[in-house]
Amino acid sequence: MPDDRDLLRGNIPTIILAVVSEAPLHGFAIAREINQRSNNALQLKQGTLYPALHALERDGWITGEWEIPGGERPRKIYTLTPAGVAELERRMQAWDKFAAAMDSVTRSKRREQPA
Amino acid sequence: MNNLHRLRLITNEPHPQQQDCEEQIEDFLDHLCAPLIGIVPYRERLAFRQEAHAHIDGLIREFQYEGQEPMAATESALREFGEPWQVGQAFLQEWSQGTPGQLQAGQIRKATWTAFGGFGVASMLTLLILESNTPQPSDGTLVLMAGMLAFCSPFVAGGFVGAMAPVQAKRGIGISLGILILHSCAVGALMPSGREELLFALWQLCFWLPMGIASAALTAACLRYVRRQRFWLVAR
Repeated sequence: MPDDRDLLRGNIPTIILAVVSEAPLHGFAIAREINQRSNNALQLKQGTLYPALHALERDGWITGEWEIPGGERPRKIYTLTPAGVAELERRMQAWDKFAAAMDSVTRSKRREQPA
Repeated sequence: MNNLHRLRLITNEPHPQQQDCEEQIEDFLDHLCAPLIGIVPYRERLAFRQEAHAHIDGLIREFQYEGQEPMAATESALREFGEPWQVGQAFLQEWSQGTPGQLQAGQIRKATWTAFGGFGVASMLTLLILESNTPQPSDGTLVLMAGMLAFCSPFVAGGFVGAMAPVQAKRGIGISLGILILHSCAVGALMPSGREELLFALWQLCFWLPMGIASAALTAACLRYVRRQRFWLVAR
């Protein structure tokens, strides 16, 4: 049976797209944003973001531009592309549908259980 | 967080432990990128390394701001980033699945030519022996040689492809053996008594192809393991 980490792993690309849709961000900021928005509920090893970022960039849903901030190490800023916007919309709809279905199934199960 | 620590953060004064921390980070990054060596081009590896380094720096700053000493902050940051070998493998997997078209085409070409070299020589030799031995088998040594060639070739040639072109080895073997099987069929069809050649084509399809691919995958995995061990030895 999948645990929370398995569920999270499969949805990392969607989470990244959602986070980047609001502002261009670098990898570290994306990780921070995920932690903050989820109140640290979504615990992921932060290095696992980079394979996902690479895949999203390869698929043309985000683009990365190198930035060299003063006195710091170069970092890549990721921006959502128009194709990424459409993909995020598609994923959100799929997620809403799935969540609604799960909700109705699990809630009806709970209703059937005696108090 | 003590005042001295805050002051160091503000003034960027090098901490006595900074050298150790930097070495620890570099060691971590070496392990992170080790699975990519020899497969992912240097430029892409460097980009991944730089991104990871910037990320780890950010984590360290955060842990230091929370009051941890530099060494402890570095260790926490590396832990938070994840097990380097696993992250490196995950990156490699993503990279292999969708390498840019031109690069992928180059890898397929290399694997195909390598496979064609290995399997082609074996196939031609076997066919030559079969042809020289028909219509009546005359030389027992030649029959034995043909048998040995037919049995051992996929392991040797597959291993050769796995070592020389680990990326896209499966596809390379598939393409080259496809052509060689067609060639064996054609020879069998054109020869007056081409039953052996046709059987050999069937053998290539049912034995050479799966065994060749398995050997290539096994060799590539073994070489990755050896590289990893060697890397660990050098890194320590």
